[in-house]
Amino acid sequence: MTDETILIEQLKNVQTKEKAFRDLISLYKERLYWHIRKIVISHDDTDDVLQNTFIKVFKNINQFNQKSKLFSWMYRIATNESITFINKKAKLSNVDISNYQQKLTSTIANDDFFTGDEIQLILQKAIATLPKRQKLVFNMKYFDELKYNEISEILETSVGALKASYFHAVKKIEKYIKTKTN
Amino acid sequence: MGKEIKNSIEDISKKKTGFSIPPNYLHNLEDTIAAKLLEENFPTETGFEVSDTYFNNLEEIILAKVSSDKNEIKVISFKVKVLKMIPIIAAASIILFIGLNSFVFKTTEAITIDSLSDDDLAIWLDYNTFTTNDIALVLEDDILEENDFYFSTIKDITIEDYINNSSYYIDLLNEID
Repeated sequence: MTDETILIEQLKNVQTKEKAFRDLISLYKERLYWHIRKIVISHDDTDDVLQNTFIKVFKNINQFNQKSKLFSWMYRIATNESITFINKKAKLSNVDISNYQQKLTSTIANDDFFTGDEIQLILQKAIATLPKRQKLVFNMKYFDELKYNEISEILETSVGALKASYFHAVKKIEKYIKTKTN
Repeated sequence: MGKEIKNSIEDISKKKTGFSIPPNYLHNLEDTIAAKLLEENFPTETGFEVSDTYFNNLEEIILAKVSSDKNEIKVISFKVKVLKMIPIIAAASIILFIGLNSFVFKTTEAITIDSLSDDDLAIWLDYNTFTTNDIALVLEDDILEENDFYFSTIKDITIEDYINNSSYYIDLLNEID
């Protein structure tokens, strides 16, 4: 039995659930944090979404059917939570999700928890201009260095479509960076 | 001579190595390599920071939330959310019905849309039109989240029943036949 299978069994067992859940948080908190952070941008919002993600994992672990890896399942939940969060925020601000994210990114230079240099700032602004799916694919492939088949499991999209999305995203980012740096 | 060379090339190409590649691998290879070349100019870090202590006691914070949630479990199923919309739709229909009866159908004469004055129509629309904001306000607490779809387990039999009872899909199935 693999470590993951054991962990899942412990998570589904009422007597071992709490201890296993603590281990699960320790194991994945940083990776999920950075995944969410790249979508919702601010630290405080990321903290909210991360906690909600783990709570959803805790409550729905019995529904996990092991057709995918546990990590992919959690990544998917984190992605969905982040998108829901951004949608709600955009709705409250009365703008569409794409405008909202561009607005968010335009203020990160003043964020205490953003220490990137000028080119990193331009890159974040370029990412904010991408359509939702291209943005997700780019972040997962470029920064998180996930493999296409892993992203495919998380987003339930074919590898071919992901490769095309990534290629278009990279091309748009390169064009954006060129216009801002020339 | 030429024929012999041609035959030997055909023989070589018939030989199999036993290796195989994932389906569609070569299909996207140009894009994959082009993306790889372009991304060499991008910075490798996001620039985002997090306080050094943030991850230290995250487990406790989340477990505390889970424990407090256990005492007050509120499960709102997908079905319940949809059912919650029914009274709103019913209320809107009743308001519309009363509105139409009060302002439009009250007289005994047969009224057509052409017989109504522009002013009457303008007044009715002023008082009875729902803006997208009104709808958004009603939906504020009932909006479906991405994960509602992810966690909802719809049985095959339910899908089958839906398809069997939906005339649109029956037409489609008939067309396939």
